[in-house]
Amino acid sequence: MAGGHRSSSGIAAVEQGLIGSTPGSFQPVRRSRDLLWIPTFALLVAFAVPWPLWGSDRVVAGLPAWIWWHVGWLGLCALAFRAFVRSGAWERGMGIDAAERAGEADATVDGGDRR
Amino acid sequence: MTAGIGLTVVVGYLVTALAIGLVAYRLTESTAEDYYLANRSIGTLVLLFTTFATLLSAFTFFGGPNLAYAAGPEWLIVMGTLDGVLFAVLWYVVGYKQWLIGERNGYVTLGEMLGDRFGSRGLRGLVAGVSLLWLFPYVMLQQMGAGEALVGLTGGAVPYWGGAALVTAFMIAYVTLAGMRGVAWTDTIQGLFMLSVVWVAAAWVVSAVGGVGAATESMLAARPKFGSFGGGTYTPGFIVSTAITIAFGVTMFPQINQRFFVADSGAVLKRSFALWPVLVLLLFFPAFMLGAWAAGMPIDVPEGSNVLPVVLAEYTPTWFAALVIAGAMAAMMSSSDSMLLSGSSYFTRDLYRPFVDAGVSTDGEALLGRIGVVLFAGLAFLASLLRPGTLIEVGDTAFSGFALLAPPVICALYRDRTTRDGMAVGIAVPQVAYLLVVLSSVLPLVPTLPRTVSVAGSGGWDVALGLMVLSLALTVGVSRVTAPTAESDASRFAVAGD
Repeated sequence: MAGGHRSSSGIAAVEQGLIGSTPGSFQPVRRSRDLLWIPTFALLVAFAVPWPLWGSDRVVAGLPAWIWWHVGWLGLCALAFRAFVRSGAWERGMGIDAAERAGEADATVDGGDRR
Repeated sequence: MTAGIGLTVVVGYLVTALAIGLVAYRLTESTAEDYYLANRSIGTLVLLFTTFATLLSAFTFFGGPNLAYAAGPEWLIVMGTLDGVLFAVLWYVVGYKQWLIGERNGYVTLGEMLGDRFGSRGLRGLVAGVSLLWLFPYVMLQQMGAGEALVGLTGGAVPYWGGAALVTAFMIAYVTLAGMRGVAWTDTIQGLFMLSVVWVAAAWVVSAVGGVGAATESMLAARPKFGSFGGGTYTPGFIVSTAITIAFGVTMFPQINQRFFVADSGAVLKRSFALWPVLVLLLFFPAFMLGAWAAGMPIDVPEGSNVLPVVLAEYTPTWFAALVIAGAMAAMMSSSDSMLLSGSSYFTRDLYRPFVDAGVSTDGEALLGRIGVVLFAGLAFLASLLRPGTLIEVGDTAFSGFALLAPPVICALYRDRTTRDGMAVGIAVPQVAYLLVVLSSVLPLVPTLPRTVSVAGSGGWDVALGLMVLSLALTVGVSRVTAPTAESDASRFAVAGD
């Protein structure tokens, strides 16, 4: 567990206003691409409610169209969440090195770590 | 006769669930970690369903369809958004972070985690106390739901108090015997069972009324407004404030929050996260649509009873209707067990041990937890007899109370600069304010404070939403002007050591 190369990034860093101040071993491109997940999640939450269909009473295939929107949208969310997890952004968002945690069972992270 | 069949199926089902709990009890070690967390060895399927099972409550099976029946199918959108998407995001932001921290430091409860981080026994007790306070109406909600369900199923042969008492007795028996391992087991079985049975029920009813198209058509003929999105109860203010308060509230629910500590690996949390929106939709869609479609069915829903049992009784055989109700009750019981179990760990670990007797033995603690459960469930049962509101109202009150805890907790998780005083003020002030609002509507002596604030054109916004903002502002603001105490240690929450 070589220390020093893991640094805060993603959500943790945003919350602490640390973006740009902690040079780590992540490629900068990757890190800034991870930040796109924040507006993506915001969008996914916001439009799970079919706002553009407000007041619409169109019925498609036996159900109001806005219900289909919601059903489809939640499917989209599941896909997006999967992509988030697979890309490794899940770990990077917490400032953890994805490679180290990938596939690990329940090894407690300790040792020389800062506590 | 019909009442007899119904009651037999219900009691038989509950006894079976209890038997499973007893088997799990045999496998239980008597340590607190195992009783409360099943030794942190919960796999993907079990974690997913044990969290899912907490959605299987009276709020989902009875409250939700009732609201969809009365006000339209938009409830599906509200619940789907808050649970399927917003809660999933919080699952990561709050849940995964807590899991990382808990794994390093061995925490079992939220209060313990915060108390340790800020070096404050008072904060630990405050968090536990607030949590137990709002847990009370939610346990009560399950008893109300069970009471109403049995009245509906047996046509009044079993009185409301009888159903509520029955489920209370099973709840107590179950949780005092089994612990988290037992609860997790039955949660999984019941989750799978209810997910299948609610689809069978929907298919049965829909085919009886001539298909989905016909069901929607007669719903629209009876209630033309149901087809257009929004309107009536569902103002933008209602949709947004309900979705936000419930989603944040859910993360602070003791039984859900404690789930964030039980996963045996981070991979479990990841897999569950990606499956969540679909799973939620699979449950809510048939349950709430049945409620909405019922508006177009030639049925008569008596005042104060639930729509789902009435629909089932009309279109499916008694044994099947009873099976669904039994499944729903067992699932509610299982959720209540999770709540009571988590509640008892909050009580023994965060209140009794720190404030009354630090030297209590493990056995003593387990016994104390069980006594606590009996008292808590008993009192909630008595309160449920008063029926202080509809299922949705009672549930929403509890959710909002918990939601007010979320902003300070999120600050603590992500801002090293958060101080003990910031946390204390950020938790206490909004809680007191909200409690006043809630109590003013229950107590006859004081004028009722408004629960919602109208904003031009967008309907009423829940005051709890404003109080969440206040709570965030107070936590950040007070943290800024106070210094961290000597006992606090921000590095306790570091998850990536370097």
